[in-house]
Order: sequence, then C-alpha cells, then structure tokens
Amino acid sequence: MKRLLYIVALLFLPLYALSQEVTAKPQCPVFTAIEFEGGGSRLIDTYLSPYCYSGWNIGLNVELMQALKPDNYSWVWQQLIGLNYGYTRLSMSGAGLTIHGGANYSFAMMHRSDTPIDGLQLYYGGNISLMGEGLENYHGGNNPLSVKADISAGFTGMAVYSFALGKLPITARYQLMLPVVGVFAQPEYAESYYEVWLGNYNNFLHCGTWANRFDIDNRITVDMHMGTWALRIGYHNRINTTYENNNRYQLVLHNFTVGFAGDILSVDYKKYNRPIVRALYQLPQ
Amino acid sequence: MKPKRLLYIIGIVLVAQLQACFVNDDLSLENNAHTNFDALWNIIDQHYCFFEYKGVDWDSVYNEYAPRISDNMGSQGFFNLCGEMLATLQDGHVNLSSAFGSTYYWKWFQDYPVNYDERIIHEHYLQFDFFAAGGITYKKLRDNIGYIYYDSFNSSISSTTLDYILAHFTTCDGLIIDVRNNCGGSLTNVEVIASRFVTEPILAGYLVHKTGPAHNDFSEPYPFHIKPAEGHILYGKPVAVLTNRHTFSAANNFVQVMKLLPQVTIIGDRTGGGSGLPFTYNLPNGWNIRLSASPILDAEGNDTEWGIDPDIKIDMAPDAQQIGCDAILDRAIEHLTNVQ
Repeated sequence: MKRLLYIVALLFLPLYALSQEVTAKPQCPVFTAIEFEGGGSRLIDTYLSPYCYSGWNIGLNVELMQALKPDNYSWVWQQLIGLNYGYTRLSMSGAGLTIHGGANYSFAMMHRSDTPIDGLQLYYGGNISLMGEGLENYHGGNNPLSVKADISAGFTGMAVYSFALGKLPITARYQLMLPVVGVFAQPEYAESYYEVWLGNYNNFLHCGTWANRFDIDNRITVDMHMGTWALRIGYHNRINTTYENNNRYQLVLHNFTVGFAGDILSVDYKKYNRPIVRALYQLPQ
Repeated sequence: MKPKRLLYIIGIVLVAQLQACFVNDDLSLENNAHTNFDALWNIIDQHYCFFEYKGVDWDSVYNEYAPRISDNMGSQGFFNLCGEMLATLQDGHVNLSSAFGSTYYWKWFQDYPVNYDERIIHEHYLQFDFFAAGGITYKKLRDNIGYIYYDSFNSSISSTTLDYILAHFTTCDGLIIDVRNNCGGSLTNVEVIASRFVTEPILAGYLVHKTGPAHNDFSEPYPFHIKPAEGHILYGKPVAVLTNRHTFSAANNFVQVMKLLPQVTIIGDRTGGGSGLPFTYNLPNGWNIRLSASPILDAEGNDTEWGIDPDIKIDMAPDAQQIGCDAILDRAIEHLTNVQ
C-alpha cells in the first residue's frame, strides 16, 4: 500500500510542478538534451557505386547549451555531438548493401535577439563543426570503403518560441546550421585508399566552399516541460554533399527524434531553483 | 496577397525544391535489361584502365552488343550476353557477379600449359610431410634447398610466422618460393614477404589511378618502395621464384618486385599478368562488376598486364610428370645448387 502511494505521488509530481508560479529570477545552468533519432537515409557516393541507396538510419545526439551572464545573457554557446548509423540498399532494386556511420561535433556561439512577438526569440551566430563518416559497400574489390572527414565553419541560427498549451509550458525551436567554408578529404576519382596509405596525399584534402561542398542541418524540436525536465520530440534533417575529383557524394537523413532535456549535468542540485530551470529559453526578456 | 507573405511562400517552396535536388536521379530509371546494360557499359567506360593499352574500341563494343539486348531475354540470357561483351576486354580481373554465378575470362591461363601439379610436389618432393603456417607450406628439400609454397596472397602471414619459416631455412644453400597457381590477393602481403629479401629500400614500381571518366584520365605515376623488414630475419642467399600462367594479380606483382633483386631468379612460365588493381561497382539490379581500375607499373614504368617473362623459361614435361617429376622445381633446385 505504501509503495502504491509513492507511485501515485510520483505520477502527480509533474502536475504539481506545472502549477508552480514562475516568479523567481531565471538561472542558466548548462542545458542538456539527449535525443534518440530514427528515420530514413538516402545516399550516393560514386566512388563506391554510381547509383542511389536508401534505407533506414538511427542516431544519438547530445546537445549542450548555456547562456553567458555578461550582457544580460544575450550570448549563448551550444555544443552538439551526434552519432549515426544507417543501412541502405539500392533504391532501384533493393539489392546491394551500403552501410554508413559517423560522428559529428559542432560548437556554436549565438547572439540572442528579442522580437516584438511575445515568446519569440531569435538566435544567430557562427559555428565550427567536425564530421567523420564512413561508408562501406559490400561488393568487395579494392574500393569497399569511402571515408569522409570534414572541418568547417559557417552560420547557425534558431528561432525559439515559448508558449503554454493549457498549463503545459512548451518551447518550440527551429535551428539551421549552414557550413560555409572548410576542409574535407576525398581521394581522386578512382584512387585506392591503398595508394593513399602508401603516402600519395596529392589532391586528397580540399578546401570546401559552396562550389564543391554543401551541407545543411535542420532541426525542429518541441520541448514539453514537466517540472524539472522536458520531454523532447522533433525532426532532424541533415544533408551532406561533396563534388570533387569527379566524384559525387550526397547523404540525406530525415529523422524523427525523441528525448529528454533539462539541467542534467548539474552536480549541485540545490544550487538552482529547479522548477524554473526548464530550458535555456527561459531567459529574461 | 501581401508581398511579405508571398516571399515566405517562395522561401518554403525553394527549401522544398532544395530537398528534391538531392539523390533523386534514379527515379526516372527502371530496373530492366536496357538500364542494367547501359549501367554496365558506362561503368566500364568510365573506370576501366586498359582500353588504350589493349587497343579496345569500347564504343564499337556497345554498337555490337546493345542491339542484342531486350527486356524479355531473361536474367540468364542477359548475364551470358554481358559476359560475352566483357570477354572483349581480355582481362582476368573483369567479372560480372550475380546471385547465380560469375562470368570469367580465363584465356590468360587456359591456352597455356598448366605447369603445376600439387600432388606431385606433395608426394614426391615433400613426401606428405611438411609444415604449414599462414598459408605457406614449407620444407627442406634435397641438396639442402628450402622450399616454400604460397597459394594465395589473400592468406595473411604474420611477421612472427615468417621469422620462424626463414629461421628454418638459414642453413640452406638457397630457397625456392613457389607462386605457381597463386591468383593474387592483398598487395600488403606482397610487401610483407618481399621485405625479407631486400637489404636496402628499392623502388618496386609505380601506382597510377584514373582521375576522371575519360579513357586517358590518369594520374602521374606514384612510386612505391619495398623496405627491409627491420628487426626481423632477412634472407640474402640465392632465391628462385617459380611461376606459371596461373601466377596472377598480386602474385604477378610479387614476381615483378622479386625480379628486381640480384639474388633472385624467376623460373617457369610467363606469369598471367593482371596488373590492374580491381575496383567493384554495383549495377542497379544488384549484380557486381569488378574491373581493372588502377594500373601497377614495374620499376621501369612498364605495364605488366600481359605478364612477366621468367629468367629461365621451362615447362613441365608430361613424360617426367608420369614418374613424379616437376621439371620446373627440378630446374630450380639445379640452378640454386649450381649458383653456389
């Protein structure tokens, strides 16, 4: 009976938290989100095969974000760490097999700008991103692998809109990341990685601009705040492309995300007034 | 409509169009015989590396075979016709693979003497009593000559195993390395073994790769070297490498490297060649086409696609085979005994 009471109390705890009046001054610890994503993947890498592959993709993302105190919290930094794995087959026939997997990291610094629309804030700034992706086509030969490595700098921005659905506070966000310049690796048209391994790095590293490389990352997230944490659902779209050495590479991911967010990393839980530490977005306007 | 709202709509449409630009170029293609034939022909056209060397007019090959394709010819019929077309390249590295079989071009060894009989060696030279490790069969033969048989460069051999094997032969007067019927494998194994027979770095050859889809889009030759295996046993006594027409691909490359060494004599038949590093590509129907994509040149910049001549040309004598004699192996033993 006692255990049952605990369970009931736990179920109603979020509602109790929702009913709290947010009157205290917001605080800005590191806001952390962990997302699991899954969806579709579509790719072509003419180094491996001249045809398109499509299939599924799963991933894990970690987002860290914090507002900086100077200038009335008008600057925020954001770090995104992602892992992904995909399994694709020839789009035309369902045969063949190419798997891909990779990791990416991005650091962004953004400036906050309030808008006349109540609850809407805009963030914009620059970011540096690192990306490593490996593709393996199970056809054998001396070209079964294709390795992508990229470091780039670009623009990022997000629109954040906070509102309430009944008593449930919600924060919706759209973020765009658009690398502009960088460096990426790509062997020549039909150069084996064996030759690269022997030391032939001629024309292996390339300056990436929109002339030969175009990447874009779109994220839509909806955080439903439940007391000290938030349930996150969203959509994540990523496109990576390179056109170099007569080789074409494109990877398109469409993922739905689910996760949770909040002040997860804080060691001193008493430091903050936790009910109001809902998200970075709870900043003074 | 307000101009601002119109701009928003145009923006959304542009973003949607941007998505549509990516990875959608297969949508208009159907997975039929014509599509797959064109795919096969185009992959070869854009990636095969020996058109000029072999004097193959690939456009005329298309004109000859394309009219014979029909969408209702059946998978086997289509497969056979593609195999016939690929044979015009005269290349053992060109294979079309499907779920039910592969096409092969075997004339590079079929039209020549076999020049190898494993049973004769095992029975009459090794007496069915030998060591085997890391894909290598080895034993001391008569006249204090060591014998190594390596059947495939796909068999990885560790440095430790190679140390044991070479230590076994340190007291021998010479060593035979038999790579007959060795159809190749990994080039790194070529380096692992060859590095035991050099005392200083040598220029072993050049790698060339295609830089674009045109038939003559090639990179500058990139030199590669064989260095002595530091910290491991090196073998400096006379060596004979035995070859036949079935010595192919990475084994051909091994012979190419070993032939550069003054203490090494190549004995047997011309090798089968296969000097193009093969790449593989999927066809739309899931079949795979393997082809020579990256030529490996010898130290003088010559192509060895058609094989390498031995220093001592000799075929196995059928009469001697009847009584258990391998004329090539006998000649190698004689050579190493006399070279002392």
